[in-house]
Amino acid sequence: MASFPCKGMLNFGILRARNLRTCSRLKLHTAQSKRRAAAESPTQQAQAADDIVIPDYIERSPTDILKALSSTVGRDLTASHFKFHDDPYLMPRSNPDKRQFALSQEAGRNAARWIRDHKPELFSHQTAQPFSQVRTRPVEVFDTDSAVSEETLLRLIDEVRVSDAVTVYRKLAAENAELSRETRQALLELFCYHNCDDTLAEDRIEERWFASTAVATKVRNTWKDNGVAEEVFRSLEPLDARAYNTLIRGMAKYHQADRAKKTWDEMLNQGFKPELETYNHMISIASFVMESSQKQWEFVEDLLRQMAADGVRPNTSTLTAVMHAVQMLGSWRNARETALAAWRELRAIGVRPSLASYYCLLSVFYRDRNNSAVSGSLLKSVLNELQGKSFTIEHPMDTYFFTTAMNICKNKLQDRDLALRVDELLHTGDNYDLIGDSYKEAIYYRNLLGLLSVTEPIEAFIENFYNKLVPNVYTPEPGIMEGLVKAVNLNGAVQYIPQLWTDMVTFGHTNRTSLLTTLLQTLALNPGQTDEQRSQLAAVGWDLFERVERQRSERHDKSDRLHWTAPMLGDLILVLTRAGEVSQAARILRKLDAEQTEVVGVPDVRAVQGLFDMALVHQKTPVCVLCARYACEMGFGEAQAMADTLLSTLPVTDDDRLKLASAGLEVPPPQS
Amino acid sequence: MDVEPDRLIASVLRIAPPEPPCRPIHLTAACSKVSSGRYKVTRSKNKPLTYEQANPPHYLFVRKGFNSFNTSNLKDGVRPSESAMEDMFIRKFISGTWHNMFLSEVIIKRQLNMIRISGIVVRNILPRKMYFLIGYTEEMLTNWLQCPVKLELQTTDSREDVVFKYI
Repeated sequence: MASFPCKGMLNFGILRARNLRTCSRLKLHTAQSKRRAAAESPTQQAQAADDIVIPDYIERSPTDILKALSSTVGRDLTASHFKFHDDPYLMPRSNPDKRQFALSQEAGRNAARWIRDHKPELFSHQTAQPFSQVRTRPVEVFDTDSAVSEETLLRLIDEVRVSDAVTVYRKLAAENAELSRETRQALLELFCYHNCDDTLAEDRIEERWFASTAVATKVRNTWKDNGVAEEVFRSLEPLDARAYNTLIRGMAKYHQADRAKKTWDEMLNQGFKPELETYNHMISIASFVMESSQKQWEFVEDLLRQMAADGVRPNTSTLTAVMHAVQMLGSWRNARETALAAWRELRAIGVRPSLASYYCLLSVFYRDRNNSAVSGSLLKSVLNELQGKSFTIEHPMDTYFFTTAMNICKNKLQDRDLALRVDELLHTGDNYDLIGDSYKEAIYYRNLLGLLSVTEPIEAFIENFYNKLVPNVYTPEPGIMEGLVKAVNLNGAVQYIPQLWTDMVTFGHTNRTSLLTTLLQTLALNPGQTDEQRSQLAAVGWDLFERVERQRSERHDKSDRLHWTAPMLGDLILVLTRAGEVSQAARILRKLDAEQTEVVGVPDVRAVQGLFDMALVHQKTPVCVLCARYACEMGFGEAQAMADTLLSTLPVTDDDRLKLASAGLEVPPPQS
Repeated sequence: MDVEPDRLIASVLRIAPPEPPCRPIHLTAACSKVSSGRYKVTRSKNKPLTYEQANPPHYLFVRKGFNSFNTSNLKDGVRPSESAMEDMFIRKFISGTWHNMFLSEVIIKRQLNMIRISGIVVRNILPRKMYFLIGYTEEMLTNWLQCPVKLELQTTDSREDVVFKYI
């Protein structure tokens, strides 16, 4: 009896030992496996296998698990952005809608914040546990009567409230309060960084997203000369290196190049050493300091040499600044070689480029307007280097990279594969955060879709790209729509026309003459395959006609109206006739006939002939008479043939005979 | 209401009360008729009711849902009275801000520290103005209640759409 429990325990012990071994094997640690491989004798091996190696503790932040969860969820392409309400009435349909709705919502939020800040007594209660200082506390409003001290100023600097800091500083100066040197230096840094002005607050997400910043923004001097920043700078007498460095960076950031250079020289004369970021800022304004390209580059080289002499090690933003300086050199013939040489040298000493550096490099290389000389090799090698990497923002110009790369793919290289690789990079990790703002995103997708619509088979394009991106991610502009309609025309894929027309109506493209002309041409050139398709196309044509007519009657200003041309209406007649819609086609011909002075041009004779034939089949004498008369007035050779066919096929009243005769056609007397 | 002690004891013990010295007019039965949450039938039968209004309170959780979803009133729930007061505040704020626009009851759902407010509104203002009101309401209530507040609205074209029956 006594042996059983013992045996059981033994078995259990073996089991446990095995389990432990499997556990440690599962938690494979590279160090352990290496050690196991290095173990010489089998006993040592067994010992090593029994050791449990606990992996190193990985520091996690409180939101790491949320980030991991969110990384498993992508963008839902079938719904609009989550900032919009999920309701048919509140869903944005066009680009102006998206902008208006998002900004309206933010305006509402700002109104509420204004009330909170100006009626703080209503919000003095504290129900939240713990109480959040950030979102719910009223922001103090400062005026000339507020009681202020140095602590207030330090708090404002900490909260980056620039204009309030100016107010408080002025008040303290008026009271002759003594401020410590540290506070004044901090104040100088705040004013120089923000140019003594409030920037758009971080929580105004939509305003920042929709603030339109073109890729090639015109840079100009915006530094506030003799502003409060310089006042603080002067108060720091006797000046030290930190004060000088701060002021130079501020001036350089806001393109006050002349005075930045002057201050720079002054600082060097006094024997102070520039800091790394100050060097970077000076390099990036080289084009404002010097005149000719040669001199600008010499200036940059001098600065780099001086850095080496000072023992200052260049960093990522040095590389970006140098590349930016080369980019600003304009069409200097040595620009490419210089850029590559500098790039190589800085990379050789271990400087890591950011997306901004790549952006500058690309814009140096793909500057020329003539497309023949451009090769895609540089962009290809850049993409090889970046593939699969995830980036965070390091420089304001980082956000230009994707737009520029896609622009090069579309307008310089016409390379579908490269464009798709850029798109893949954009959707790697958190890289989509670097798309910039709504304007840049729109340009990016405009180029992507514009390129793919001509390089991709139309079915694949509609299936894989159009249906996914439009309208929730991107609303196409009329120009892109026109390209798309042309692609449909080229491929004869009229089955997509009803879908495209519905989208055009929703996006508000129905007042663009060139787009409508292209659409009507496509309709006229591509007779549908089946009766059903033909009637669908005719429905599109008729809807277009009615919409434009309604718009024309609603607009009082004649110059603003869409103008019909006779070829457009001729195409429309053709489409309607094909589907057997004689009465609708006749209405359009009547319009053509009645408004000959307003509608410019001559319709295609085939349209009139087609309508005539169809009306003849349907035995609609008045329409036939109208066709023949109109053809005669337009001087078509077919007019007489029409009249003859009509008279020999259908009974024609005397009244109609008179009409034909008065138009100038030969009408034989009735044979009774 | 003053009740004589012996009558009270009698009513609790369900025994016949002792003979009173006098018999006053007794109105309690008529008063106790429950009228809250019920709507009076009009003579012309033209008073519109929503589905929610058409079902009296005893159909709660049978035919219709609650107007406030929270765990405050469960056993060991926290801040029951505060939640009730806040819900009142939210309803008053909404009916004032979205004047004459809410066609349904204001449904308030609390999950963790988040408050979601939903309801059906009529489309009598432009979508962009509606977005302004959404942003304003969310931010105002967030600041007031000091927790994230979200609006989840559905819109409808006419007031008739929510009418379940006329009484």
